[in-house]
Amino acid sequence: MIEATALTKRYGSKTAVDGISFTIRPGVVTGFLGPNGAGKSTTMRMIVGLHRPTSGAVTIDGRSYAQLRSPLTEVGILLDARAYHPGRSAREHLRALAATHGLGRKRVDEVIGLAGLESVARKRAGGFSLGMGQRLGIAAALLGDPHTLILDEPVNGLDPEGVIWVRNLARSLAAEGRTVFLSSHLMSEMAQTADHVIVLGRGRVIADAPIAEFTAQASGTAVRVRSPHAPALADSLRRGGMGVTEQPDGALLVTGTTAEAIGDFAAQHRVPLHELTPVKSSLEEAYLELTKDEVEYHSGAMPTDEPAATEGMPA
Amino acid sequence: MTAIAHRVTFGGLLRSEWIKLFSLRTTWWLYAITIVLFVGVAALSALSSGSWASSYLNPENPAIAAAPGASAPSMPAALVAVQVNAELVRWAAPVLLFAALVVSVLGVIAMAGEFGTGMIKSTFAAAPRRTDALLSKLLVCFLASVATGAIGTLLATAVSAGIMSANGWAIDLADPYLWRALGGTIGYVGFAGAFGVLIGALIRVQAGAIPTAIGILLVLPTIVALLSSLLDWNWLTNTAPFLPSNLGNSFAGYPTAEAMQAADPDGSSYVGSGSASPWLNVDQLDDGTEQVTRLSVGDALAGLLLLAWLVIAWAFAQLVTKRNDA
Repeated sequence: MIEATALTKRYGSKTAVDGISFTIRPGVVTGFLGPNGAGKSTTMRMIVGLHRPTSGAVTIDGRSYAQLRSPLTEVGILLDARAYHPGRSAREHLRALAATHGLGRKRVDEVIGLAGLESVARKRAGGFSLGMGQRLGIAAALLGDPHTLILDEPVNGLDPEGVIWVRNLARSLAAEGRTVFLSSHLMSEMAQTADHVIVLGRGRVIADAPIAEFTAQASGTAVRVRSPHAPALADSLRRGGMGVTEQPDGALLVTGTTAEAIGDFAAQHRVPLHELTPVKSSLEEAYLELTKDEVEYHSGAMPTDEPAATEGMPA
Repeated sequence: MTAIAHRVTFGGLLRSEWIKLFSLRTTWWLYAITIVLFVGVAALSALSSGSWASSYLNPENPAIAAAPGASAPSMPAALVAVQVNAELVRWAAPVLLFAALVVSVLGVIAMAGEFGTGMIKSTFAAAPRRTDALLSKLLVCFLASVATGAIGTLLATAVSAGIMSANGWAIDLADPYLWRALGGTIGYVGFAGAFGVLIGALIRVQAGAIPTAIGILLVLPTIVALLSSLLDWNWLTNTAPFLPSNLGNSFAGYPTAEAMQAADPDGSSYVGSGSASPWLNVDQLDDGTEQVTRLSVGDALAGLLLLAWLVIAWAFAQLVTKRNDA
């Protein structure tokens, strides 16, 4: 369980993380999404005490990271694909980390095997590709068989086999009751892995919802509803067992039903509707829509009319 | 989940730092170069001392015997033995300068290199209190430097003694002053390694930390000497003996004057005469006061002052390590 309360980080006059609060529960995979510069890495660094919050606090199982007696067996961290010395072999790197907690060579060899690094374990890590570096970082995170895993962009640079490996690893660790928290800027990747998603934009939490809500919206089963009596309608829809999220513009996004059913429902309850639109957009589009005002670094306009229509890859 | 009884311990951190240090090729290279340097300079120094027969210390040396005033009583044998041992470790001063450079740079690399490569994130993740990680790296680099200094010093002394004995010199290895000087040499190499780690922790960027370490250890004494003579600042001159390299020379140098005094207690005063030792310089000022421009040789005080440098640098390094984001 990771709990952040009003967590804030400023670098000079720039606010990287702006008073965010969230809870990451054990037993599920929580995805951390957001465009570049949204504050994901800064947040993760604050969780593990590498960066000191300007204000607010974050705890892991009720304690701050610095208070942990056995950090490697409680929290496994991948914050940087290059958190190792290039002149040291993968094996020596892991041995040095293992030694701090009295973990033996046996465990080192185990994680080398887990990460598929046997053939390169004795080579200097400086020659590793980005993907091999990620594997080494994940091996290091797994070293203490931790209760909590915090992985920043774990699939970055991995080959398809590696992506699937990370996905299955995250899911199986969560299934064992561990807390798994991964960041990505790819919604499609998260859709395959995460049960719950926290979306960050410009240092603020702009969405904190089960992935089902996002996927429902993406697969077209979400319906956008506007009504002058939106709050009342939302309540009765929820009582009817439907998923309802309030949109920033006051509209409701209803999942788990069809536009026809909502129309009938509204008529029965004599609620006027101003809009009733089945939303059909890809997961990536939904995410882009959500974060479009929150992007720190906009790309220049490209001479293209192709909307990025990336449906989630089949698992 | 397996039942886990592991936790982070200081012993574990020491072992981790030891693995880190010796799993890099740079470490082996730099320590090896240091040892080769010790032995090489000692051999050159011993060879350049020539044979006992032609030494200026030998009363039977024909050149000395033929010199005017040669009929004057020659130096007592005990004093000659002291001078011979001073000759035995003549290599120490120049080697120490370079060894301090190499070993301190290695200390800087070991610490600042972690920040440069990103390794520090892994290190602090395993030791979130940070200062225990800093202390263990400090101790490991100190011990490794001391070991390197000890191997170098003992090999250099053996080579030097071997060559000089072969050339007819009578070496007295039982001389306690000799071992005190050798101990000081080893200690100063250890100091340099530890000092490098602390500068690396304070500055974190190798490009800044390496010149700073070299500057303090090698360049600062020259700057102080130049400035004090240029500006005629006596107080600045008086700070010179307290700079690490000058303390190192005092700590590690062979205490010729003191050893001569001990060998010949009834003779004239060797200590404080201003000329008996190249290390000790007591200037008689015009107003009759004395000014010590160098600390006395082999003084244990010099060792304590070096330790004080380390403690102060360590205090600042702890503060920066704890406070700044990694």
